[in-house]
This record gives sequence, structure tokens and C-alpha cells, in this order.
Amino acid sequence: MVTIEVKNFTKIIRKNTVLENISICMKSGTIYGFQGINGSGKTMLMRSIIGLIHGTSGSILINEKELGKEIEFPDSIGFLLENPAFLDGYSGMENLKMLTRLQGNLSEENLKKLLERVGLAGAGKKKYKKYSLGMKQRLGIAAAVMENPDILILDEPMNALDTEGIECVKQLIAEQKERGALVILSCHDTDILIHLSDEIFKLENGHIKEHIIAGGDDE
Amino acid sequence: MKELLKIEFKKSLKNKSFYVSIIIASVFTILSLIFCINNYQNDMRMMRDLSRQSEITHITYAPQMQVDTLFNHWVGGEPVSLGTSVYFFIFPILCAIPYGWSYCVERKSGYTRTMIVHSGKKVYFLAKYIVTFVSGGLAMVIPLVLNIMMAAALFPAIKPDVTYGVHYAVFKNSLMSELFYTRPFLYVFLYLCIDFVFCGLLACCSMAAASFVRQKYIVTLVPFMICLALHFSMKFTYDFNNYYNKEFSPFYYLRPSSVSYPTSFFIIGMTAMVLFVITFTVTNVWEKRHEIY
Amino acid sequence: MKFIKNILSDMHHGIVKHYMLFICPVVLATIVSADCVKKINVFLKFEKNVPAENSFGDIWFCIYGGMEKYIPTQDNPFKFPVIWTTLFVICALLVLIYPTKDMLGMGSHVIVAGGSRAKWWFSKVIWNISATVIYHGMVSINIMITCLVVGIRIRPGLNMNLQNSIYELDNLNEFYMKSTIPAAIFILPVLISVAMNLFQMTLTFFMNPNYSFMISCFLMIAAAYMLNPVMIYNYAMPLRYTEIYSLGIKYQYGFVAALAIGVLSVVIGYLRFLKYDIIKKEDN
Repeated sequence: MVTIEVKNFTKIIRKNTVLENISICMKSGTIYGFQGINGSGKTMLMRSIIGLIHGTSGSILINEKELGKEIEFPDSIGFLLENPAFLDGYSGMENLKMLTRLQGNLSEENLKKLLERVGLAGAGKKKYKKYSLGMKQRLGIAAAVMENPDILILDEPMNALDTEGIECVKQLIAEQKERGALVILSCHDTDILIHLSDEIFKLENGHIKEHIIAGGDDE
Repeated sequence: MKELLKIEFKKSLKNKSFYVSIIIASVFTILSLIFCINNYQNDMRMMRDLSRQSEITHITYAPQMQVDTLFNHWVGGEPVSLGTSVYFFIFPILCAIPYGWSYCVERKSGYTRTMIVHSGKKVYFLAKYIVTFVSGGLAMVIPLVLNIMMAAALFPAIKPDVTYGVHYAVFKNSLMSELFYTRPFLYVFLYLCIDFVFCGLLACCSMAAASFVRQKYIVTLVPFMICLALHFSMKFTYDFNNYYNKEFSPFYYLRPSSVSYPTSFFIIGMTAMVLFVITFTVTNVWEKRHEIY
Repeated sequence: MKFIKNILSDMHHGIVKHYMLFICPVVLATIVSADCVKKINVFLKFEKNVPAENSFGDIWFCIYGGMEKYIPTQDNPFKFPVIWTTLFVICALLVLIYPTKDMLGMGSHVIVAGGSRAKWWFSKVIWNISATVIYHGMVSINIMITCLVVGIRIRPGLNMNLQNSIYELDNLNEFYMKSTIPAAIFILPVLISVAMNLFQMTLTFFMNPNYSFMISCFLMIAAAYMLNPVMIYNYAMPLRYTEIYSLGIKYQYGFVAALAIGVLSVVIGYLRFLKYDIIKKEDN
């Protein structure tokens, strides 16, 4: 069981307010959607929750522990932020192996199944630099979910994916929710976001304009 | 930490750049070896000719002449050949090529994000620093070790004689000169250690430079620029007639044989300390405090 | 029209915005010129019985002279010429990265918008030549300013006794006691630098820029080590011209060599770039 509490979180970068007074409560077993135009602050908020950036004011509590003070990063987190980032000179499988050694140490068998799950069945041995954009995206998603993290953050996971890929990712996200993960997701396709998310936060100019609960009233 | 170190070591030592760096360095050390073989053969030929007229010259031919020994016929022991001159000029580039650029590339691609979140900032930066240091040191030392092993197969390992000091380019005021004339293998070993540490730190300069420079190729050339700046500054700070001048240029003081001024532990140590403090502070303190985008 | 735009873009991004191209030669020339003036004053103070006329040529020679012929012996370790090497190494470094950087990322849009690989390449050639000439021009201008400030005549003179005290020549009797040097000698090192920078730029199509830079360094050190007409950088060392050193190389051949290397590099680079796959997004 994981809870994330964002309390009056503000981030100012070189006199630009990128996030302003954000307050959100999130819990396990729920999919939260972040929606907004380019530059509204979705990715910045995700970075803040991961612990990559620190706020100018306010705080983020992961299981009541303040991020950046009591803990550096959440204990169990998987994420795909902006573009997938791997090592060009290694294959998809080798890249995943290197990452899994840091946390859970999944077996090669499990990694193979994971690659099949994201639609990269035959591409595990191919060097990452030879992957197409869609393949890179799939590998990024595989890396995010492989350790069954308590918190899963996916920034535009459907980018560059074909119809089959999108369906695959949708199923994967649903499975993560079933497992009890706290999923934070951003997507430009409103239909997909509405379909998947239990709650949607609409961001505009760095603050939350609207909070929609699926099947409930607007806040 | 252990896992991350294993991963980083694997990335640094099993990579094409590391092998290419060793091969390029080995080419120049072999060039030096060929020069030394030629010299040695000329000397032996001359000795044989002179010994044929032994009634006049009183010279008996013996291949074990102290003038020509292993310790002045390897790339670090002779300051005269083209191979040595080029090798000890481009070594700062060769020690940064294997892994000095890796932090720059990972930072730019966003790979650092993933590694830092999974392993922690402190662990990531420390592991990266250690591995960059070791890969830089190995890139310098491996070709030297290969060269001395090849030279050992060709030249007799005769203990140097102080009478022939000018042939060894190790003089009374040279660094560890007493050791050279009493325990030459230990002398060579200690010099290899000095080279390992110093070149490791030079490779870490590339890592530190990545905090300010985004270009991978520029970052790899930073150690070379530092050495060139030190060498250039020496030209204008020293009074050349001063007996007490000590060697200040890494191009010269990392060589076991003396080229210009005598080497001093103090200067090597101070330079290494300054490099360590700056690189460690930039990478493990300053950079660690930054946000990761 | 697009070609002119390409050139202007390269001039803007590769020269005007490239501050180091201006700062480095100025700093280098200032330090060396100041040191040379100091040595001239010492020379004038102590050498009373030799001709003491100094000129722009002397300070220029201090920077561009190079080193006398090296004879490898056990008691004569090879010491590369610091000032000369630094001058040419920094020049090679400053023009190393821009073409590679300009081909990747955003630069690929520029190539496509330009409509022709040939235009892109020849624009880079013009940029490279301009940047090198500007670099050496800054050095020369700095020397002239030093001469004006200190009161040294700006003429192509040479005081070999002064140069002997600076370079500590071993075999002074092999040098001619010239008082002036042909103006062409002032141009040749720049031409050699241009040719070798074009060569380095062409090499970056075949290998990583670090390796092409290493090759440039190797050629410089090898030329300093061996006085040989085949080692091209010898033509960038006026101290080794037959005009000055009796056992030297004819500087006139240097013009031919520079032209040959320059043209070959441009042609090979052009042919290579026509077939070059621009796949990499960024320089990772």
C-alpha cells in the first residue's frame, strides 16, 4: 500500500513558475491521469514525484516520508519519462539485465517473457541503436514495469506505438492497477486517458485547473 | 553499490574504445621498441667489432653491457625515440577515450535518470568516479606493462650502473634515483603506480568536465588541454638557468626517465591532490546536488 | 543563393559565436609576445657587441619558429617545441568539433533545407579556411600591437643572434645570419595549418573526431622529431627552411604540399560526404 501526498508544491525555474501550489492525494490501486497542453507542467510534476527535482516550496510525501529530506527517491518506482534512455551499444535484453541487477535481479527467462509481453519478442538481442522509435518506447515501458513497482509513472507511453502496441500498453497498465500499483499516466489522447484513469488532473500553466473522478462530479 | 560497480566496470572494460585506446598506445610503444632494438643491435655490432681488435681496444665482447639494459630500453626508460615522444604526448587523450566520456553521454541521453533513481545519487556518482578512474589508469598502464614485458624478452635485465648514468637519463637528483640503481624493478613498478593514479585522475577530469560541457568529444580532450596548459605555463614561469627547477609538466614527469628537469614527489603529489579535490568535488558534491532533468 | 546562406550560417555559428576562436589566439600571442619582449630586453642589455635591431619578424619567429633539427642521442632527450605545438594544437582543436556537431541533431535539418550535400561540404571548407586564417590573423595582429606598444619596428626582419639566445641553437654555424626574411615565409605556416585542418576535417568522416585530432598531434610531433620534407608540418617551422638553416627544407615546396593536401582533403571529403549516412541523432 502506497500513498503519495503532494502538498502546496511550487517549482520556480529562473523566474518561471512551472508548478504552482499543487496539492494532490494519491493511493495504491488507482490510475491517475495527468492531462494538459504542452508546457502545462505534467512532466515537471512527474519529475518532482520521482524525486529528480526539488520544489521551491511545498512538499511531496511518499508513505508520509518527505521526498528530498527523509528519502531521496521512492523505494519502489518504475518510470518512463519523455524519451526512453538506454545504452546504444547494448541489446535490449542486456539493457534490461543491467537495470534489473540494481534492484530485483530478474532471471533471463522473466526478462524474455517481459519482452514478449511488450511486443519485442524477437528483438531482445538486437542493439538498442538499431531499434525503431516504437521499439525503443516498448523497451522503455518494459523497463518501467519489470520490477512490479509500487509506483508506476508513464509519461506519454503511447508515443510512437502502433494500434497493437497501444492495446498492449493499455492492458499492461490495467494489470498494474489490478496488482495494486499506483499508476500515474499522461497522454494527449483524451479518450485513452478517460478510458484508463480513475481520476484525472487537468493542468494548465502549472496549476491544477480541474480534478475529475471517473463516474463522479468535477471538483 | 557492488552491483552498480560490476555493471560500470563491465561497461568500461568491455567496450570498443578501451581496446582501441590500448591498441593505439601499443603501436607507439612498439615503435619505441623497434628503435631500442636497432640501438641495441648497433651497440652489439660495435662491441663485436671492437672486441676483434681486443689487443688494441682491450674490449671483450659481452652482451651483458650495463649501458644497454632492459631499464633504458623500454618506452618509459628511453626519452629519445619517436614512439616514446608521441606516446607521452597523446596519453591524456588515450586515458580519457575508454570511459571519460560516459557520464557526458549518459547525462545527455537521460540514462542517468534511470540509474540514479534505482541506485541513488551518491552511489551512482561514486561508482562512476571509481570506474572512470580505474579505466583511465589501466589505459595508461597496460601498454607500458606490455611494452616492458616485450622488452624483457629482448634485452638483459642488468642492474644499472651509476657510472653510465647519462645512458639511463636517471641522475642523482631524479625521482627515486637510488631505487633505480639498487632495485630497478621496484622503481619501474612505483612509476607505473604513479602513472596509474595520475592518468586515472586525468580521466576523472573528463567526467568532471561533463558537468559544464555537453559535447562528448570536447570532454574527452579536457585532460589533454589541462596537461598542455601546465606544460605551456612552465615555459613562462621558470627561469631556465635555475638549478632548483623541478619538472612541472605531466608530459615529462610521468616518464621514468628524465627529460628536462628532475621530477619531484611534491609536485606530482600536489597536482594529483588538486585534480582529485576538484574532480571529486565537482562530480560527487556539486553535481550530486543538482537536479536531474 | 542557398549556398551563400549556408556560408553565412556557418560564419555566424562557427566563427562569430565561437568566442574561443578569438580569445585563445589573443591570450596565447599576448603571453608569448610579452615573454619575447622580455627576452629582447635581456638580450639588448647583455649582448652589446652584436647587431641589436629587432622587428616584428623576431617576435613572429619566437612564436612560429618551431625547433631546430633534432638529433637523437642518449644525452639529448626529445623535447617538443612548446609554443609552436600549442599554437597549432589549439588551432586544430578549435576547428575540430563544429562540422560533426553541425551534421547531427538540428544540423540534419540544415543539410536537407540546403538542398545539396555539396553546398554543405564546400560551405564547411570555406568556414574551416576562414576560421584558421582568422586564428592566425589574430596572432599576427596581436604581435603587431605588441610591437607598436613597445616601439619595435613592423618589418620582416630577423635577428639570428637574438633567436639563438631564445632557441639556444646547438649548431649556430649551420644557420644563416639573415637580417630580413621573405614575406612568403610569414604565409606558409598559415597555409600548412589550413591544409592540415582540412585534412583533419576530412578524417572526421572516417573516424571519431578524437582519433583525427590524435593523428594531427602525431603528425606535429613526428615533424618536430624528424626533419623530412615528407613530414608536412616541417613546412610550418621557419627555423628549418633553407633560407635560414643550411641543412633545412625548401619552403617553396611547402606551398605545393599545402595546396596538394588541401585540395585532396576537400575532394576526398566531398566524395565521402556524398555517400555518408547521417543516421546518428546526437553525438552520443
